[in-house]
Amino acid sequence: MDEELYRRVKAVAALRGIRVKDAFEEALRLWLSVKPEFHALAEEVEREAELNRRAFEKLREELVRSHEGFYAAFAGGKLLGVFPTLEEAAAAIERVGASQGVIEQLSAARRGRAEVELGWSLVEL
Amino acid sequence: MEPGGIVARGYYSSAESPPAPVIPLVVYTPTSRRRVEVEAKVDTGFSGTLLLAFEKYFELGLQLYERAEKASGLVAGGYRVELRVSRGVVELEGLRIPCNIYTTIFARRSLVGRELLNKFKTVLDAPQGAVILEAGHR
Repeated sequence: MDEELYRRVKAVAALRGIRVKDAFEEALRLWLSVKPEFHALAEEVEREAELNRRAFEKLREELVRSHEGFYAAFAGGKLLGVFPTLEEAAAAIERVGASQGVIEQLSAARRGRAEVELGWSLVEL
Repeated sequence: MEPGGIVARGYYSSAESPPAPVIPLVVYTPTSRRRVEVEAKVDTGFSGTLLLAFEKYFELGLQLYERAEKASGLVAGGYRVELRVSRGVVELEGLRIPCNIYTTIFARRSLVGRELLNKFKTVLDAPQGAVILEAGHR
């Protein structure tokens, strides 16, 4: 097992006043709670998403130079077009019958990964 | 929207003990071609706008309008989960609000969070079992 991961599990378990064994059981219950068909769906969509992300990264600088502020739409690992509105970009993806799509508003400023607090309501064990 | 005008009426769901505040809302795709009705739990511990149950997110087809970058969800206790981020429109009694919509494979329920709630005056009247969102005064 990844030592750093184990160290973090141990630290959080200590903070919560539970044993590492209980933390593992909790994690396994959570893992089992996800329907198998959801795993399959998530994997398929993620494969497509990865292709679209790569296509976006490859073209990002060129698109920002030529169309800053516009919306770029990607599906099937390809650029579908650049559009003045989100609605038009979304419609372009709907037209091609893709299983996943990426829409990015073109900006020279790179956003870091957004962080969202979730509280506890998300998880039902 | 007039200040004090009611934007949404919810209720306390007895599916949880103690009962939890819930708001019914409608979520649309960015093109408004598809919609889904959702009962979202009011969760002030959630800093985002709307987190949809995984099933609802895909029922609506929101995977078609995702951002390139996923978001990082910080769960109480220090856990992190990856969140898919899409775009949609939330409708509350006729008022339409374009916003980011999140999900994760672990999401079995829908949550409405501070980024949306903070646009309004939120009244949690547990004794009366009522939840009311009102347009705020500026």
